[in-house]
Amino acid sequence: MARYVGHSLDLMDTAQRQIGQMRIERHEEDLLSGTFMPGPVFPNVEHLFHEFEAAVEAQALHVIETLDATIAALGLHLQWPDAREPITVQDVQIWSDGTITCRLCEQPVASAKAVPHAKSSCQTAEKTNRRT
Amino acid sequence: MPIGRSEEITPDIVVHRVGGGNVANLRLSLLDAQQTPPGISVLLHGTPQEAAAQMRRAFPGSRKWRETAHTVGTTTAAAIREAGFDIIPDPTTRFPNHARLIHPQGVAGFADENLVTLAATFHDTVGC
Repeated sequence: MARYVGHSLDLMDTAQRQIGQMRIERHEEDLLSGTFMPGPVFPNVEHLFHEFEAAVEAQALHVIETLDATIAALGLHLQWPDAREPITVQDVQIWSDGTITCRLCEQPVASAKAVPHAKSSCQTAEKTNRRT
Repeated sequence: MPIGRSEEITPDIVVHRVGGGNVANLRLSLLDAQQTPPGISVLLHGTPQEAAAQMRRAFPGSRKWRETAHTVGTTTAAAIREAGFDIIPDPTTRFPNHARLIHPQGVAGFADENLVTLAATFHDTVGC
């Protein structure tokens, strides 16, 4: 469980562009939480996370469904610096206070059953893995 | 996922609005008003505590929802309809038990005088 805690990983999109870095502070079951440091490409996608946050704050849960699909299509995944092997994640949420959370795709069966998540981006990230 | 029909939600089904059943929390947000039909999000079934826990699990990084003590307003589909509103199933990937609380007159139906009647049907549970 402590494998990721205390480390900063690159947050990449499906085109292998660096969206930013995630400094991981907590790892509970499949959930990673930490601090997000924006990268040069982040302004291109920042509005999606602002819209997501606004919908969450307004409890407009029907709006979130659409945003989930758009964010999942970015194929976001984590990567150790100087390593090519991606860490497949889903449900990446970046908040205006600098908090970031995501869920590891490889997770214990029990925790996978516990919470329905956003549309999985794991498949997209795995495709990225095969391409690189 | 497609929006369902009102008849699919039977009168005895329990309905939760996280944040409480007060008028301010039952008003349409700008985002809610833009939907077809316009309506606010509610969660069906279970307990108020389970509804609050669903929000915390879905949005673990949200300042608003990660707090551990929320107020949750609870009512029934029958009481909502008696107040002149309606409720339709609107399941999402994150919330299969999601429904939309609507009014036959659309946005205009969410006027404060109607919301006062609606709010009276809710029972708030604190510390969820």
